[in-house]
Amino acid sequence: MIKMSHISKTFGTLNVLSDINLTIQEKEIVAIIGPSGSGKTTLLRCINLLEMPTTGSVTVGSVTFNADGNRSNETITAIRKQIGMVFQNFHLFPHLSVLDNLTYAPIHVLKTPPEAAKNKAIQLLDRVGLKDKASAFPAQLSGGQKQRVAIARALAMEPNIMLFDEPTSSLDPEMVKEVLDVMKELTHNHMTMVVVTHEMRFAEAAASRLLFMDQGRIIEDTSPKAFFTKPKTKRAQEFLSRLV
Amino acid sequence: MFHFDLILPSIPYIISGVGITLQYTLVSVCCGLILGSILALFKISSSRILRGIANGYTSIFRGTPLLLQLGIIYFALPNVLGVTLPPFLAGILTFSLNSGAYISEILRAGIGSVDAGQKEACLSLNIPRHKAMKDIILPQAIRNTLPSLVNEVIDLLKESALISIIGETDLLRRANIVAAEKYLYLEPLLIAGACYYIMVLGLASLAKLLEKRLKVT
Repeated sequence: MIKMSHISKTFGTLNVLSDINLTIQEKEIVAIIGPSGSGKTTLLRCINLLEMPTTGSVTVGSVTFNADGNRSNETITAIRKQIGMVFQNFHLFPHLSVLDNLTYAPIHVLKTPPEAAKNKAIQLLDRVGLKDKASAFPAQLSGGQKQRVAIARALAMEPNIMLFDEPTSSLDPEMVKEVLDVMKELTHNHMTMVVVTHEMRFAEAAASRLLFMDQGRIIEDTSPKAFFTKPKTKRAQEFLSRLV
Repeated sequence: MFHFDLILPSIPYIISGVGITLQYTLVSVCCGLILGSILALFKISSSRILRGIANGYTSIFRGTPLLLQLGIIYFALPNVLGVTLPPFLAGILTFSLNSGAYISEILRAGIGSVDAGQKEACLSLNIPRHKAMKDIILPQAIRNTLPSLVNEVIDLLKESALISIIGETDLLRRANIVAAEKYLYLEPLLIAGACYYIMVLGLASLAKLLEKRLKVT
């Protein structure tokens, strides 16, 4: 489903990712954890090419992007088409109602008839528990509600893969659960998910695979259970021992 | 010291200039906004030629007096092209071209002020660039720059008084006509001044209301 080969990313002289090789199968729920600055978010953003890898290739489905070969707009679009993304800071469109946030891209990108897009949006809002907020504007929602809308917005494009970039990091503690619950529900729906997170409990409970990153490399690639009971590397042991 | 009684019959004549002044202002602002948006897009485009055109344009229209621009378009253009524009058209054209330059600068800054995350959300949803700009980025840019845009409208409203030099009988021109007729300057000018002031106040409070409404959403 996703295959990254020899991905590296440098910002100026800074090496953020070094020779990443990663294959993610369909329906896997992958949690990426690690200290800040370890390259987690950059890795995630390289999957849907919000960040262009400096070297290496990314294959999503049957489409391959190559840093020093095929990097046409068509390729990038074809990759992004398969992927939904949820950001740490939601990035809802503040001047559009919740409903319009959900229907804009389906209508304008997928050319879904407005009526059908609207029905689909209401369904999705119902699924994330916010059907009654369809006509509200983002500013009127709490952080947790905004993030649930953002998830619904990404789902409205019917992606096969969902990327989550620290989806609960800017939420009040008491709003974390409602977002994680929605994400857990998604895992039951056979969605392929890649989640950068600081929520160890979520990683432990919901993920089927866990990547631990440090200094631009994946240094552990294992099951959550194995990782939390007995991390192999010293760096991971240190990391876990510092968690409260 | 005031002799408003002497110009009493002429007061309606002066005040009816408000309509002409407003007409110039509104039409010019609308055209200026369209032109300014296009120029702002040029300024952030990746094409050096488009950026050059927009920056050169802004530089010229900001760098010369409005009165001079009006003179060229109304008085000099007929000599060059052999076409004489009616005063209304010449006025609208000049004000639009001029305010387009200022508005493009305001909008360029406004587009820069929109959170980069908005663009990323558009990219992740595969929204094409031009649609993202038109429907997502520009509306937010306009909202962020509303106070500066209102300032521009107010400037334009007052600068519209310049059209009297090409013979249009706007608010100020009417006051001057009455003044010359009655040899009485203070009173007609005070009336015109009050009219300008009230229009500006109206605009300002309208803008405040609009800003408040936009803040809620």
